[in-house]
Order: sequence, then C-alpha cells, then structure tokens
Amino acid sequence: MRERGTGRQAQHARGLVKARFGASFWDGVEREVEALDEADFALFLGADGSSIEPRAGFEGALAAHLSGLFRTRWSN
Amino acid sequence: MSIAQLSGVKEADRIIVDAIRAGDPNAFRDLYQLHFRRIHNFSVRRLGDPAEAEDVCQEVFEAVYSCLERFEGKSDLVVWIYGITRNILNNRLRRRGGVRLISLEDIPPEAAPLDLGPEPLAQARQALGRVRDAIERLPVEQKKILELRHGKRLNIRKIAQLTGRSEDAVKSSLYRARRTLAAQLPGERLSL
Repeated sequence: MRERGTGRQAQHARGLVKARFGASFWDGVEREVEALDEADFALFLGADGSSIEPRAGFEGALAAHLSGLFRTRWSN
Repeated sequence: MSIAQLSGVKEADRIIVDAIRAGDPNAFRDLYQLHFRRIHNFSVRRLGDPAEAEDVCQEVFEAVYSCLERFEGKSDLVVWIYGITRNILNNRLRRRGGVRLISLEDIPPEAAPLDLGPEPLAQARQALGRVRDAIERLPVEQKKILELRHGKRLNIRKIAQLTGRSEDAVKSSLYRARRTLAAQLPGERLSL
C-alpha cells in the first residue's frame, strides 16, 4: 500500500491525490454512469456476496490508510 | 424497487455524504464497510489479479473521499461509486494493452469474432436479424431514441436536446424499449 505520511507531507500527498483525479478522470466516470450497463451493475452490486476473500489484513490496512487521509483532510 | 424505497436510498446517500462532509469518521467507516467487499471482489473478477485489485480499491476510495464534493446526488451513491470503479478498471486494462471493459451496447454491429465457423456465424446472423426485426416493431419514438443511443452512441443529455424531451423522458423511453426487446427476444443474451 502506498503510504501518504502526515503533516506537511500529508498536505502535499493530498494535493497529489487530487491531481490524480483530474477532469478527464471525472469525464470517464460520468460516461460510465450515463452508459450504465444494468447487467454489469447487477454484478457489481452482488459482488460482495461472492466467495472471493481479500488478502488477510488488507481490508484493515486500507481502512487505516484512508482514516489517516480523512483525518488530515478534515482537520485542516 | 419501489419509488418509496428509491427515495429511502437517496435519503440514506444524502445523510451519509453530509455526515462525511461534516467530518464524521463513523460515516466514513460505514461507507467503507458498505462498499469495500463489492469493489474488491468486482475488481478481482475483472482483473484476475488480487494485488492489482487492491490498488484499485485504494484508488476508488481515495477518489471518493478526496472528491466527495463532486457527488451531486444525480444518481445513487452506489452508482457513482460503480462509475468510479469501472473508470479505474478501464484505465488499468487499457494500460495493460488496449483491452477495455465494455458493455455489449458498445460493440459495433459489424463486430464478430474472427474464428467463427460457418454454423455459429449463420446462427449469429439469424439472431441479429431477429434483433433488427424486434427493433423495427418498436414505437417510432422509442426506436428513434434507441438508435440515437446505440447507433449514434449519443449520451442521454444530447438525445434530450435533439428530441426536445427531458432526460428523464429519454431514460424512460430507453427503459421501455429495452424491456420490450428483452420480452420479445427471450433467448438472446442481450445486455439490456
């Protein structure tokens, strides 16, 4: 997992995260939403019931990483 | 899903988004727990690579949490998250070498696997003929909108502008057309 750091580093990292999701990224998201394929969307909705298991520890590690991102964003 | 249930979904989305925007870490956690498995498992299936699927999960949630102000509630939150996930998966598959996640509706009518033998090819032609006949039998307005959407590949907004109808009316016509086709073509594997 890519670590983001804290303090000034985190602010910088947050800026990088924002930069990664620029206008073309959101244009792509809009296209996917507008062209919603109902069958594929149903697969997405039902995917949490499949037998696939995440790698041990990954779910918690990502949650901790995102919590850090969240705290940094809303604490400034 | 009934209108009352849909309203409930919208309301639940609004509550959770408002709470996250207000800095509530519990709402943040709830959203994560609600969608993590769905995004992870969907990505594993599409990519066939658990490690890459983990990167996708991280990227999706970073997009959601870093850019939540972009969510305007036009669609359900889960649809928005699905759009983000598909877009990230598409980008990754494209970088792998030109492969892209597509809907059946994005396949041009002339497209066909190159290694089809004579019998499957004849069957495919017959199926295509049945689909064309069913489209011909649609009401004029539905047929026109279906052709603009799938033939011209225009988005809903553009079709609404061209036909002078609201976006909701266009979506409704598309829905009715797809439902009619699905009913008339029960044996066909259409992505409707």
